[in-house]
Order: sequence, then structure tokens, then C-alpha cells
Amino acid sequence: MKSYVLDASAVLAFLSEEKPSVVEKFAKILNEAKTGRAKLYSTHLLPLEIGNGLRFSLTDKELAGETFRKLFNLPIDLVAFSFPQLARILELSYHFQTSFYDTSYHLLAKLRKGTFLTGDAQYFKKAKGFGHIELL
Amino acid sequence: MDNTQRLTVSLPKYLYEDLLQLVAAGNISSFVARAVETRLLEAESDPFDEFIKLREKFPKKRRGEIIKAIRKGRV
Repeated sequence: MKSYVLDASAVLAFLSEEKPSVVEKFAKILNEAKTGRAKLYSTHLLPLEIGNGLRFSLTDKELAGETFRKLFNLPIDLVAFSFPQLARILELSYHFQTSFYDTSYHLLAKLRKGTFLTGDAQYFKKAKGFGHIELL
Repeated sequence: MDNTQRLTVSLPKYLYEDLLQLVAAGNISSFVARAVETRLLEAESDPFDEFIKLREKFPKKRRGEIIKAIRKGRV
């Protein structure tokens, strides 16, 4: 079974953008998860980043609340890191010159032998050498 | 004929205290029944379809705006 790690930029890009390639790719992954062919993961950072992203991109408070609720009705397994894993994230973030936050999603994808799906082109450019990543 | 079923449930103490702030002690059964009914109705709909349908309501944004909103306030 495939494993995907989602970050907030991928989720919000799917909801907010019109580019067919973005919508189709994300919808395909959701369909794989719905039909039991893929599993969705993220870190405990996801609700915080989604909350902030909604807070500062939507003026419609009701829609923000509805989005938050419906996103976390999806079967996304939010994974906690052990201390050695956090130490590895720190090491990798220095190596790739990336943020600790973004790198945490990426390490999770590697640990799950899956794919980190991000909408952040800057992060992708810096850390694609680590593998296990796709730019939405 | 009575069409209700009595049951005993346990709630975390903080939740029970919050509940009492909102609902009079004599109205807890009807409050819980409504909450359970709402949750069951939600469970009947497909969470994937519900999430995908949000796209129709979402204002369109550029990628840069999305990333900026996610990171706003983070130092």
C-alpha cells in the first residue's frame, strides 16, 4: 500500500488553486486513500499550519471552521516523533538549509517509505535530493 | 410505549463540568441525543466527497499567498 505524507501547503493548494494538474494529482491520492490503496499521514504540525493558513487566507470564518472539521474527518494519521527522530530532523534541516517544521514532514515520508506531497516549491528544490518527495 | 433506551455513559470530568455550564441538569438526555444524531448523520456522508466539495466554495489563491498565510506570525 502506498503512503503519502501531506503538508498544509499541499492541502490548501488543492482547495484554492485551479490548475488541473494540482487538482487531479491530489484528487487521485484522495481516491487511492478512499479505496484502501493508500494511507494518509501527517505530523501534529498539520492542524496548526492548516489553522494558521485558513486564519490568514480566508475572511469567511464559517468556511474556515467547516474546512478544518472536514479535513480532519479524513483518515489522516497524525504521527508523533521520538526524540531520536526529532534529532534526525534537526540534522537534516541543517544539511538541506530548510526549516525544522518542513523537514519533519519529509522525514516522516522516509520513515513510512512513502511520498511527501508538498506545495512548497522552495522546500522541494532544496531537499529533493533526500527522495520521497513530490511537488504538487 | 416508551421509545427511549436508558444507558449509563462515562465522560471525562472536565467535559461533564463544561456540559453543565451549557445545559441544565434535566436537559442532558435531549442534548446528548441531538449530539449523537448529528454525529451519526455526519458519519453517513463520505468524508472524502465532503472534503472535495469544499473546492467549490473556496476563493482562488496563488501558491505564494497560501505559503505566506501558513507561515504568518511564525518567527
